[in-house]
Amino acid sequence: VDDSALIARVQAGEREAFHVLLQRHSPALLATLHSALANREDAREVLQETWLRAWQHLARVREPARLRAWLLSIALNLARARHRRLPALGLAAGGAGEPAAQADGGDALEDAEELARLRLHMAALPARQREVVDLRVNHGLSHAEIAALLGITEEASRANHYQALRRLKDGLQGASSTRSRARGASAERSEP
Amino acid sequence: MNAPGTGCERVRARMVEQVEGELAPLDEALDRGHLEACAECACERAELERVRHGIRGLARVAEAELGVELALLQREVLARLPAHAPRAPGLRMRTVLTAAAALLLLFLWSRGGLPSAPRAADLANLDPWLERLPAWPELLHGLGGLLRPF
Repeated sequence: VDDSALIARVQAGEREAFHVLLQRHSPALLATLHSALANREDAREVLQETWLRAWQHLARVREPARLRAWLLSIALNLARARHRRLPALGLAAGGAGEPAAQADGGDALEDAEELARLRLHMAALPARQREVVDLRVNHGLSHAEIAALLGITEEASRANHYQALRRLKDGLQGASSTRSRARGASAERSEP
Repeated sequence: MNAPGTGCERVRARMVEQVEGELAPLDEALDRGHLEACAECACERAELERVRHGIRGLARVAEAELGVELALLQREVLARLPAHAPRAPGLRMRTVLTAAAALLLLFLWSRGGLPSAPRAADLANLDPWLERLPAWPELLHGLGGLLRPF
């Protein structure tokens, strides 16, 4: 069932439909808020407030198919209000430990290592670039939507996204080549 | 393989858009052709894909770590929701305003029509105009009564 149908059902008084929306969008929203606020308790409170406001103003959703963008706008505005002293919302560095316990497959260790490195590189990105990458890659927002959410131009959103992906790619490539060289040297040493 | 640099610069400049499927069909076909022939650019593209895949992986890990919290949080949100279903606020406001306007018109009509605006000459003597305003005398009388004790 898509979001539009669920919204219509909520407005008809069906609370279970709202529960489905909660389950569908909360994980990604909470991950973004947690990352943005660097504090679990704050993220939880902002997410609760976001959903309560969403309930009150559900009739104002102009494009039900873009519900995620609408929810993000509420959540990020609330997060900004909570941290008004910060000039930009800046995603926090986030805990850099234990990144990929759930990685699966034969090369799980490699994936886990790579995710750990990626997390570090993400933490090193400028705040604006982290925000844009998260909204674009994890929430699938268009650059126009990101621009409206963050109060920047569409071009700035594109540029931040491009630069962030480049930096992350270069960071991972650099780490891979260093590791390959280390492996080669260790293989040479172990040869009789 | 293409000669070094032939089309590489163009393809790499818009590789993010290409990876995200945002290119126009003609550009997409051009770049796709280049990528099939140029191993270096294809490798570059694969790296970008890997980064995007990794970013999504990080988000999934974060969501999984927050799983238990989420279940509790959803329960709390549902418990805090108002009993009534959300209504369309625009419609509600329109209804109130329309009703208020209708009542005002009815009241004015019952008092003999809308008062005309005063002309400059009338300003010297406002009484006739005030008398035509519904409820003004009663209101002033009421205020006077209220202020009398002071």
